[in-house]
Amino acid sequence: MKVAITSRGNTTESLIDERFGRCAYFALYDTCTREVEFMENSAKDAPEGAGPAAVAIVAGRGAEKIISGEFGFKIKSMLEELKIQMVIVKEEKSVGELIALMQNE
Amino acid sequence: MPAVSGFKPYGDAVSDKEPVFLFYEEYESIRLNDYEKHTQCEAAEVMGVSRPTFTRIYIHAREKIAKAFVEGRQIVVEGGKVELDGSWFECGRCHAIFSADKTHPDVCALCGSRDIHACRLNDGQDLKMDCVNPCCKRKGRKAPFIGNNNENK
Repeated sequence: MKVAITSRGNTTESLIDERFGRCAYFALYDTCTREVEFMENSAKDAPEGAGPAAVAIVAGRGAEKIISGEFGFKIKSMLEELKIQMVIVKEEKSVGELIALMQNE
Repeated sequence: MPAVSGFKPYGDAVSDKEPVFLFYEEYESIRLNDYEKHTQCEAAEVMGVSRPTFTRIYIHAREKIAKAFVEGRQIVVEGGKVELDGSWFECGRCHAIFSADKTHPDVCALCGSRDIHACRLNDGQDLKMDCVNPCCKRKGRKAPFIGNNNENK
């Protein structure tokens, strides 16, 4: 399963980005291959509609779960329709720490 | 959801009488007030009920548990008026909050722990607020015990 994590940077030491639509990067983690790749969020500088654009990016990459600090209310209904699970993490965890939590399942 | 479905007593005084049925919202009132140590006003806010309603639920929960203790009855946690708001859950272990991927998730979507419970999304509201209800006006501390402490008995 592919999991998207909003990230402030492009390494596993980067902390989770609390925003979804305007986060700096997405970390894409594959639970089967246990590999992670980073991609810059091209939606972050959009004047408006960054949230829906970001949803399109992660959905296009096949993410079934998204981990972020918050999701705007418009995004919530979009993601519910797409059956993409939302995970809200309020603590300042790094991408690496979040991946470790998923691996210890 | 509660970690247990109920409790069975053991010992000589245990009766064959009907079990006590603790409703989900009653279990939740004990969890929020006695375990998480919220004030009753905060807990009422979390559950989406008024403070007097929360107190009624909480008193019922305590009376049912007391009955089970004293009469040696089993406690079964089920039923009641349960309303899951948009189906969100919180993990007691990693504190992640996640949307339900199925009707009754049994593990945390992040760390896989079974210690999960239904929750309401506060959407930015901080639970540790000063109580605005005239009942207690306390700042982030447990509400006074039910009943009038100032009355001369």
